[in-house]
Amino acid sequence: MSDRADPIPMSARAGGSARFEILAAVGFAVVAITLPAYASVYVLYMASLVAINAIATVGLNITVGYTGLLSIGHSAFIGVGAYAAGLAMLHLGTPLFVNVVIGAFAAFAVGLVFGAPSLRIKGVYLAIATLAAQYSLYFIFQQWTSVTGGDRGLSLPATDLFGLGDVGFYYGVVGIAVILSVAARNLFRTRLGRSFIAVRERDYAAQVLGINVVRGKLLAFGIGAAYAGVAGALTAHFLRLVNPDQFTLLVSVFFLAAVVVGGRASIIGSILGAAFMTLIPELLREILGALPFKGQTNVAGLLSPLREIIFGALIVGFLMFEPRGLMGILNRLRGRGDEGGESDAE
Amino acid sequence: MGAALEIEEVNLAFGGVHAVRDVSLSAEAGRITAIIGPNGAGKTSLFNVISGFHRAQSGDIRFGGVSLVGQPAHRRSELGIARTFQNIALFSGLTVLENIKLGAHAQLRSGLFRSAFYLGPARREEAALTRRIEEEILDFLDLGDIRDRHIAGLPYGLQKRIELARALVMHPQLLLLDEPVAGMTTPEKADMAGYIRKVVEAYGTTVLLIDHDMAMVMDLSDHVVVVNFGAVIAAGRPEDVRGDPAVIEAYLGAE
Amino acid sequence: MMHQFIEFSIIGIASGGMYVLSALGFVIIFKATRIFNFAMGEMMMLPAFFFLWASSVWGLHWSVAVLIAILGAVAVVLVIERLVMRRMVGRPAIVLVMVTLGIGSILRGLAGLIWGHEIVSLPDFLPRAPIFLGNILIPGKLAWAFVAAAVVSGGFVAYYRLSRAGIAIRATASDIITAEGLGVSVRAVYTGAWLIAGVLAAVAGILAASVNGVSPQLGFVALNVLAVVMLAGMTSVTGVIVAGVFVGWLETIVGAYLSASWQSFLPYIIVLVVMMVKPNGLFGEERVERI
Repeated sequence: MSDRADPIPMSARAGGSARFEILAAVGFAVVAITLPAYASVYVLYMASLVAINAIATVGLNITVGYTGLLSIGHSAFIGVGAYAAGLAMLHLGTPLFVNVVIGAFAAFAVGLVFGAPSLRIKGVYLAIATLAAQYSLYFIFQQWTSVTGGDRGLSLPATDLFGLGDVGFYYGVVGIAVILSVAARNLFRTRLGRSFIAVRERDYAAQVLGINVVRGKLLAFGIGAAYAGVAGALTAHFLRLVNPDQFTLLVSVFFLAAVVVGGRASIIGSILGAAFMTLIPELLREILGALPFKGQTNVAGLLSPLREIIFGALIVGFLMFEPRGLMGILNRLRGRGDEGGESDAE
Repeated sequence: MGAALEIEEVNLAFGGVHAVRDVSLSAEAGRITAIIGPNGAGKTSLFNVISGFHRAQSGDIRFGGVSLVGQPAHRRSELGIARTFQNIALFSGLTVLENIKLGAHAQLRSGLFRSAFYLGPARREEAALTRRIEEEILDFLDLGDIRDRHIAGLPYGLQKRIELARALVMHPQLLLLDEPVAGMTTPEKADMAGYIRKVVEAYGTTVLLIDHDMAMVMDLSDHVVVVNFGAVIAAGRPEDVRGDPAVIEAYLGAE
Repeated sequence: MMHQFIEFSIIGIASGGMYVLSALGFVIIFKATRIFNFAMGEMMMLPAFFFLWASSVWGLHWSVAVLIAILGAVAVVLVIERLVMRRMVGRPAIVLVMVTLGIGSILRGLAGLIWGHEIVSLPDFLPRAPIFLGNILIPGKLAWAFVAAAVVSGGFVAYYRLSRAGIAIRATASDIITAEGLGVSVRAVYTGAWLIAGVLAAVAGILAASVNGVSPQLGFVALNVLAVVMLAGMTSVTGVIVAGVFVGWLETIVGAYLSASWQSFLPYIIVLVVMMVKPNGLFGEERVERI
């Protein structure tokens, strides 16, 4: 099946769809900017969470969707970003925008450490290395008590961005998410992004075109990790708490599901997928709360296994039946479903 | 513009198969050399050695005097070597234009941060590249009206032409064409042969091609090398090789 | 001193036996279908729970319970293979691996829903009495688990090497097109590989659970098996036996002389070292790609 790149630049498109995209962008901007005026604290909270998850999902999509490298340790890199930012906050007192950069670089570096040995080799080895990263990093988060606070983790002071409290944070997060999403989309309009797609599809042909495949994969993997690091830093500020249990395998599976559900190799798809996945647990909680339960069924205890089932089912289901994800469904509705076609390139 | 390719006693064996045996041949600068032979004769394996995907056990390959042995595959394009593949290696996730742009990968400069911001330098570079491709390639190969289409669904013959276009973007000095007309209809083959000749005349590129269509090969090439079971059995001008008894034997024997 | 070392070593080798079983399951699927089955751990965990159900809840004799557990495993595997994997033939490798990941997650969740997340001990069926080799003490359960694992592994290897099915699998692994040309039903081979892996996983899971208890997280133990598979090289059946025993031994030694945390960390160190030094493992083959 065809793993499509992001749609080609707006200017090259027929006027109709360019107009649609501009309208959509403007509509989104209007809603995003005015949201705090009429939304409840809860909605603002969820919006900020979606924005953070969108950043992580875009990063994972760059690695998995565009470049075709399976990463099962994304949450560990988010953790690296979170701890780096948290520690910076505690020991250096640095503000949010600095911490975000620190988180990105820390995660990028760690990503390279795990990526470097495995990307020279073909196939599934990267997936195994990322799994190794997931567990090794969790181990470190948990055991290196002097630095990370072990199981208790780090408790962080509140963040007041622009002096506007929660609203300020919301604007900051959404702003960062927009910038990073646009950057990612630009990446795939140019040489470097094209080379990632080439590497995914046929790396021997990519080599012949002068692309250093190993370096490309490493970069794509590192960029994905860097985005995760940004999301982690923002999480640290958001939750004011960083502990190992926020960065488990289930969370990595969550983000993989977000990529698959939203649409691989699509920036807008990543955002849709992040929104979808973030809202599911909330929906789940509402449903469980509303259902009448007899006896002392532990509702909270049900939440975790239910999530595992749902995330897994979403991945399997979408890969089987809607390989293009929500983005694909959207394109079909807009009558552009057949562009690119289905070609089992492998 | 092109340089000469010298292949000296190259041997390649893998998985118990001695794919290339002591093959020596030269492709003269600015000329079209064809490698022909029955299926499984080792032609694509030879190409893969030239491209750097396999490491020959012995022998040397020199292009323009520079030895290719031991150099990583992705360095080939720096040396001016471009290649097309037997099973079309276009990227279905990209449009025709984007595929062709990839041909210039080694020549573009925009790195990570420039691309991400896509203002100024990166945008200019992309625009300049698009213009250059429009002027030099799209019209040259008659691809103008499909430039924004996605690859999937395009006819086979057209895809082969796009692959050629991609190889041309970097102004290659050596063009390796693996079965450029395989699977095409007769008029398409004539067109493709025409394009190849056009490339050589316009740019003086050295062309080394593999194909099975005898008529096209004999008509197009300046020099023909015949390979069977991994070894060269004849080489020379098309008309000489055509009548060579060893060659006839190889093809008839393979029936 | 030495005595202790030998004791630990023997314990390590014994637990390695169980690694060998699960690793064989991984390898057989990978060899036949080129799919890296991340749901392997859950394929071990579910039958252990089935066994628990059959023997505790239904009070059946352990041998019957084992049979039921294996049958249950086969049923689950057939569902997976028919319903999902078969429809995904021809899709890129990354997609297939993600699918197994998703399936694993579903199975884990189902187990968690049905049985909760506590670790539960299996009813004893392996003799507990410690075994003495000279004056070296080996815990009874472990020793018998090793024997069982060795017998099943041995049986599997013999079957693989000697039977027509085994040859069919090797043929498919080596060259699908030729195998098909020779009349091998690739579909049957795929299904067969999954079934065999399912049975191996079931036995491995029951044995592991009988020693350590069962929980939905038992599947994560399978990740240790990754280290074994990588060390052996993804495609070597004999290599897996050597690597499995070695990793089991190393883990026990590390756990005994360093700490439990290092012990759990070890497999990942092995994986990273193998990747850096000898990516194809000790016994794996370099696969030549036809371009």
